[in-house]
Amino acid sequence: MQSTENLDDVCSHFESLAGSNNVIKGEYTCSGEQSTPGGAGTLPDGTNSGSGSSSSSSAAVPMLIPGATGVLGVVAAIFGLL
Amino acid sequence: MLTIDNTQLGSLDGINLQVADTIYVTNNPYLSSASMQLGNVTQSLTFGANSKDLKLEFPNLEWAYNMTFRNCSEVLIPSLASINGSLGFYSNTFENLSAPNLTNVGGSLSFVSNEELTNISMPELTTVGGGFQIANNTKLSDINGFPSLKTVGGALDFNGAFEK
Repeated sequence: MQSTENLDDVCSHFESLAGSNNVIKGEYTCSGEQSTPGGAGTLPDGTNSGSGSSSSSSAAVPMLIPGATGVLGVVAAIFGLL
Repeated sequence: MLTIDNTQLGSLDGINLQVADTIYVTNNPYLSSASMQLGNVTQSLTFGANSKDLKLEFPNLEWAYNMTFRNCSEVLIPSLASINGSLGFYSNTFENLSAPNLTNVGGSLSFVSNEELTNISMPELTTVGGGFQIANNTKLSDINGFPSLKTVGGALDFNGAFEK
C-alpha cells in the first residue's frame, strides 16, 4: 500500500498484523507520503532493493481480516503475485 | 453470445436478454445508454471504448462470471450478489460505484485509473478470492467502502492519493 498522503495511522494499525503466522501472511509494505506511489512489487521512496518493511518471503496465502471497519479492514499486503 | 462492436447505435433498446454467456459491447461511439434486464452472465460481460457518456444499468443482474467496465460514466448494479471470476473497473468517469448486495468475488477485484472516482461502496462484500487492486484513482481519498471484507486470497495492492 503506497500513497501520496500520510498513512501513519493506517500503517501503524496493520504493522502488528504482519507476519507469516499473522493476518497478513505475505509480503507487507505500507508507506505514505510517497512522491510516486507504486504498485505491488515496487519499493517505497528511500528504500533499496532487498530492503523493505515487514517483508517476508512467504507466498501470498489467504488473508483473514478480523473486525473489518472501513479501510482498517483492508490490509496492505503487497506481493509480487497478482 | 452478443457482440456489438464498431456500430453507430445510440442505445441497446430492443435487446432484451435474460441470460447470456458472453456480452461484448465495444467501440460504439454513440452508445450513451444501456439498460439490460439480464439476470446472469455465465462467462463474461465487457463494455469498453463506447461513448464517454455511457450510462449502464443492470437492475436485475444477480450473478456473473467475469465483468469488465471501461470508459463508462455510470454503472448501476444494484442486485449483483456474486461474481465467480473477476470484476474490473478501468478508466471510467463515474464518481460513485455501489454494489450494495455483492458478497463475493471469486477472482480479482480491480479499480484502476478511474479519474473521477471518490467513493466505492460494497458494504456486504466479505471475500475476494484473488487479488484486490485499487490504483491510480486520483480523487479517491478514502477507502472505506468495504466494512465486511474478511478475506483477500491474493495480493492487496492499493496505491494512489488516499489517506484513510
